[in-house]
Amino acid sequence: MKHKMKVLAFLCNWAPWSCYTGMGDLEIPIPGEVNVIRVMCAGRVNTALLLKAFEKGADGVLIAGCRIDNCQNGTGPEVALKNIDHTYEILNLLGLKKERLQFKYYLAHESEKLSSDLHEFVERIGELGKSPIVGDQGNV
Amino acid sequence: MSNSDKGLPVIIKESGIYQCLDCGKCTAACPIAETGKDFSPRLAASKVIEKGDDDPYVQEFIWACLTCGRCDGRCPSGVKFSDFVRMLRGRWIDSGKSGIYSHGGAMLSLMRMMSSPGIRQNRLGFLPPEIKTQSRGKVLYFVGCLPYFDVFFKNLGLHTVQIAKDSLKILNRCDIEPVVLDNERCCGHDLFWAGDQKGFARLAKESYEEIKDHGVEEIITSCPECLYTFKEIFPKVLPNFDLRATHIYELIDRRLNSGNNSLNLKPLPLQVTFKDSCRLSHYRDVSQIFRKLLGQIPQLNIKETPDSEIGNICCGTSAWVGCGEHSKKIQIKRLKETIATGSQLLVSSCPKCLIHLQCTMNDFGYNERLEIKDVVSLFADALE
Repeated sequence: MKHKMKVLAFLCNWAPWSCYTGMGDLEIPIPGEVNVIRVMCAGRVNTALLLKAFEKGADGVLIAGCRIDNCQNGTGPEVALKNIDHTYEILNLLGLKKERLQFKYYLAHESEKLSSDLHEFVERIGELGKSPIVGDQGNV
Repeated sequence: MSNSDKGLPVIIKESGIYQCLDCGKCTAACPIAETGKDFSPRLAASKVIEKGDDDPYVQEFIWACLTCGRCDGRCPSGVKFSDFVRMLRGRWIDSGKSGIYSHGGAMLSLMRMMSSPGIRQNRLGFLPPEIKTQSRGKVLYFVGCLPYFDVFFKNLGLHTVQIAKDSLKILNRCDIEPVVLDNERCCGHDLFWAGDQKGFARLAKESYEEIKDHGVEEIITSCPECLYTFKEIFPKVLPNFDLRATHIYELIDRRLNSGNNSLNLKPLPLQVTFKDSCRLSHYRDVSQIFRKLLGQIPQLNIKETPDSEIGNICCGTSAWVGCGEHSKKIQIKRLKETIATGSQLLVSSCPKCLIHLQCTMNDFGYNERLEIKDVVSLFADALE
């Protein structure tokens, strides 16, 4: 039996979260593998949070942010991209493929795009297989 | 062995708290109390006895303590305060609460990830081609966290892997071609001191097996924390632990004493000041050796700070727990007292001292500049 993948999506409170609620309004199904965390800005998701996600056993992590010219806080997506680049270097040392971590931009009405991106990401992670890290080993 | 299995009475007994005489030497020795924080190990100890560990003072105390061990060394009744704090931290996280970590707990996350059996790291990208290493052998050089430090603390502009490169260069000069592991797992020092006993036990088991699989009998390290962990903690957690841990200073010293001239030293006209590290202060002989080694470099002028060896062991934070205002004060004090000696170079034996002091120097508004370097790198600079 194929193991169910664990995918974590950090959604920025503004455009991506509106896409996400839009998915509900339009009755677009959300892949069962995806767990969603709402954050106030994609730039809040720092290296430590990303590493914690992998430590807890995430097979893939997607950060959904607003478009660069559309950020409520000014530099959220830029900061997120910087954090992701930093995390890529650490994942490389750990021997985890960088494809497990991805960043996507959204405008507030792009529910279909979010849906197709999530499905595509889950499929890609399925091809990569389970992460070698045993998650949920206890202590916080 | 988990801490939640240990009730408070056991923790109090094991750390010898009842032997406290209330003399206050612990507070007098404490680097945090010195910076002006209301911080008293004996008060925390008596509060634990009286009210348990739910008291707010105790909760703040256990995550602010640096576990540097200066109070342990000064205590006339042999109370083990740092062990006491460690066990209370264990109780705290075993009860499901999150500890107070610096860098969002990222360094501890890395250690927990390394305890997964299936992980295959590639941490040896830094290895220069001229360095000779083996894939199997009796002697291992334990690199430690250095490759991760350089990536994680990229913004500091430090190159701590240089310590590993210099150590390997020295080992090669001593005709030792050590084993270096691409999938080396962390020694887990910080996990242990941050109170995650289960996580440490898992990591120690994997780490030991990984090392054993390569036929290793002796571990050589240039990090005080790795040395301390392999010498003191591994044997307690793994009953069948049979590896010998040696600090690279001891090895160099033996090589110099045997009259081998592969380590000829050239003059270095510099004035340097030492910053001792907390974990190496458990091995006074080793800290004496590095003083002796550097003393052999011609024209190197060593000027110690007034409180060297015991007084200056703290770089402000340890085990990636609780870095804050008082940590900064300690770091500024260390930098100030070094600058006051007139030295241009501060030499430490621990990569974390380098990280923490460099961090303070990079702070906005801090204008004094001082070069900082590891002891091994300074020694390697002096090699002909």
